[in-house]
Amino acid sequence: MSTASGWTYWGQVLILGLAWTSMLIVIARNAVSVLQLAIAAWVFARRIKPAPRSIDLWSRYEDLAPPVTVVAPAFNEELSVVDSVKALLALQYPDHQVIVVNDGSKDATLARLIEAFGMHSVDRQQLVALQTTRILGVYASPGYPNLLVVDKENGRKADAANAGIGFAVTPLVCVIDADSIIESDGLLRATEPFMTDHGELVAVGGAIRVVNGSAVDGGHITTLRVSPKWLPRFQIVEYLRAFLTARVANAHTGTLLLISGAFGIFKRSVLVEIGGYRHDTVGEDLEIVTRLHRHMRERRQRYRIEFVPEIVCWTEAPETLGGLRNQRSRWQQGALETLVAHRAMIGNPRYGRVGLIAMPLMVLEDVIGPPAELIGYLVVPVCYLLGILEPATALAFFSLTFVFGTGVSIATLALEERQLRRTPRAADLGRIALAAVVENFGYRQINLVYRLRGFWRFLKKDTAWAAVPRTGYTRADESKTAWPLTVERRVAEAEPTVYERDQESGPVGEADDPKMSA
Amino acid sequence: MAHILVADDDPLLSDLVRFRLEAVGHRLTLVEDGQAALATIRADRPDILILDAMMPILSGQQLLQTLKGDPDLSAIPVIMLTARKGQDDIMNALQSGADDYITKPFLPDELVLRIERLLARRG
Amino acid sequence: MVVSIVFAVTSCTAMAALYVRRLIDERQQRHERADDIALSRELMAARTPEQVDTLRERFRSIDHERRTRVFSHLLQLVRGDDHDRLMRLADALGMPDGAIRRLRKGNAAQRVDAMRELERYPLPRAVEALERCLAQDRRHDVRLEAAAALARIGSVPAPGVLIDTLDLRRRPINRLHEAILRAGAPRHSAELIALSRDPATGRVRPLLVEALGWIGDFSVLAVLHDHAGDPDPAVRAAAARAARKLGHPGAGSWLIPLLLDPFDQVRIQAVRAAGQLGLTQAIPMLAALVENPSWWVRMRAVEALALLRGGQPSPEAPIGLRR
Repeated sequence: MSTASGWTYWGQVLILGLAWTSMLIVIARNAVSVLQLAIAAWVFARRIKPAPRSIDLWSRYEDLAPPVTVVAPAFNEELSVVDSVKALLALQYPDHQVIVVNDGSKDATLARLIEAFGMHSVDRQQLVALQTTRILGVYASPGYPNLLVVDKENGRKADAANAGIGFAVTPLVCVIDADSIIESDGLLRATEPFMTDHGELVAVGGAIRVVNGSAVDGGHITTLRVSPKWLPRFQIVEYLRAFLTARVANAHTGTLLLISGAFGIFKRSVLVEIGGYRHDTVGEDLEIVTRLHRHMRERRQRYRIEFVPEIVCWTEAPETLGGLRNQRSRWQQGALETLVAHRAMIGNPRYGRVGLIAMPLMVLEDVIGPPAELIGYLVVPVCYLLGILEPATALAFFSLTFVFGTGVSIATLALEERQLRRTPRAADLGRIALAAVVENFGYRQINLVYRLRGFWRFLKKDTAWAAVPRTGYTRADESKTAWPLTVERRVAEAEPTVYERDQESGPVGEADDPKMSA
Repeated sequence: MAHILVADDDPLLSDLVRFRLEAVGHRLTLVEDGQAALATIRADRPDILILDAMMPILSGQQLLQTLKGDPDLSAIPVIMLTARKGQDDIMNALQSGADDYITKPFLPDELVLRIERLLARRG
Repeated sequence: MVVSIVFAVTSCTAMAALYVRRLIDERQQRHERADDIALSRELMAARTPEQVDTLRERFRSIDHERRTRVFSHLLQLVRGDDHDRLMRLADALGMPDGAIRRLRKGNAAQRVDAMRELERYPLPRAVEALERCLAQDRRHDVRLEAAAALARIGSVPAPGVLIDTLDLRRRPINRLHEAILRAGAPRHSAELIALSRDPATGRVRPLLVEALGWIGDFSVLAVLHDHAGDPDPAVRAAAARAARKLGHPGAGSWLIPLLLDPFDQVRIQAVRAAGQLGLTQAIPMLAALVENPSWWVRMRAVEALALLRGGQPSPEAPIGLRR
């Protein structure tokens, strides 16, 4: 055997190995999607539908609805901020506060708010300081007693949200994005699980849909339509898949790791306990839920994180490839940062199904999945051309990626149509169905490339991350889940109430038997 | 007799109100959101307004505040007809200048009487 | 490969079927709204037995979903005579009968769906069916739904029955339990007062004491006064909460001592009640509580003072970080 043929031989083995590995990974990912779809379909078929009960009973017993503070960070939103805040104040809910955090806007965001709501500076102090930047001022208005505007130095969304959470005094906080359009009964729907909770529920996420193409006026959707552009339509399909199958299945199995930053409800005391959002990751929404799991499991406390498949909020999807690229590479980078920060959880039985199932699935989905699929696209045809891969096998790979993906998307859409029916018209349904097919030929592959760019950004940033200055903080040791905070910065725990359920949940075993005494 | 505007996004309710009030000789205009209501009020000057608190686009409460803040329109009597029974809702509406507050479910005959009374008071 | 194609073809077929259904629905919907309004007018107008018979005939050609939708919607809109007449009509047309049958079979979700339909027609036979479900259903969450349905239609069973059927002595207590007990308070006031004094109710007792506030009768103040001296702080806190709900300043004599209670949860409820009831005699003590070590007591004291001093600005600083 000559050296050259030896090289060829090993080369062939390598390339064939690559092809098979990527095929196996693609098969595994598809198997996961189908399993999630099946679980979601089962959940939808068996679930007790949300009742008129919350709306009805809460209108009768207002004080039973847990008060919620909506924390809305705003950065350079002068054009829309007044309308958005009006819409937030008009949400249907018996008892909610709105805290707008002006994150050092360069425009007239603050001035518009002060003028529109007749606000004046007040001496309101935070319960707890979770932010790293300085608070410049707090504004309230006699005409709008449940509105508070916090003006602060520019940070990131995580820092602005943390500042707002620090001012919240209600048992629940709802963190949203500046451009989120909340359904008018979104708060009611998302807090519905708290009606039958006895202190274990720490966070609730809800379904989010793409608003592009709909007419929006004064912070409300006036006509619901599907965008005529392809890019938002593909994203409608993606959002359906994510929120109707993956999140529903994950929440049902106790492995939900992500509550979107566009809308999430958290128990305030637990958020404060873990120190709020981290501001050194671009995926703070994923990181905080992962850290919540970690925290509760390390403390051996019973807890639940739920997901409401009803629509709670609408969000603007990027309409250009550039915007999409930024968003996707940011999401990818955030996922990698979270995985690295919490690598100790991966496969660790100490973290139960989160460690054994959720984290490994995230590795499959976010670390090895995207490159494997891309490699497959390149290597499988090469193997076929070299004659080392059966044509049937090569064909199987492509049918798996293209045809199977279409199947999953269409099945999700069918699930939506059967269970929720929130697509405005039959024509729109047809458009989305078409997008679900076309999506697999091009859009999906482009996203893989954008995600690879996220890998690159992650690797570049990795060193910078370690070097982020943490002046003013004592670095907590690695095993702690709380975002580093000095003791005196964490003043407040939950308000003591008649019943224990609104306070911290007890350790395992005791949670079933809450004592009524202090 | 009188021209009455009903702003409610529930067509069955609007029709029920229309049915009862037309029977006693009033003229009715029905709209389904606050913005449309405001446009009609500015254009047609109805004699009485019946507003739902929760409507798309511009809520009844917001509409009420707009109307009572406008010297041109503040004299038109407003009846809030709403499912909101909370103390705060009622207090807010009355403080903002609502002339009457009726909660759903309501007595259709009572609505008719209250309208007559408001019209009589206006002379 | 075959699997992929079969899967994709199946989903596409299902989707195509749903799409066609939606198209048909959409065609129909244009007429539906007008039809709904026409039907609702007929329902409102049906007074004589002949009219009811005509309506019964007409109902045969209308699908169940639409019938239920229009009927229950009207029931939610009107009160008084109109409501009573509609209920008699629902009875005559047998509106709740299908749901009563479905309450006994199917999975939990289906049984709850039947319950939701049933509660729209609170006729005696519907109440009976719900009570049977509350007593007998094997699943706790379904029993809880039955209790909630009964609460919504104003037919809550007595608190003793609720404690047993919902297993409240053993199970964790949630907001829905609280709401259901409150809903039954005016109806079962005597039993509620007796139970609130019964130590055997154990950890349910604070809920019962709080529900006293929803009886809507000031004579219950004397009972609350007794509970204000209870050794269990949760009971004392519940008594203060009930007093706040009742809104009668007569509770002042026993509420003010609770401002000095050793337990935060009692002080907080007492402070909130003092503000709500307008107990101006509590102002000096509330002013002292603004310096309380507990953040929550401080905040509630500032709120109460703002209420009592009628909008005069109160010091905000004590409730913040800076102290």
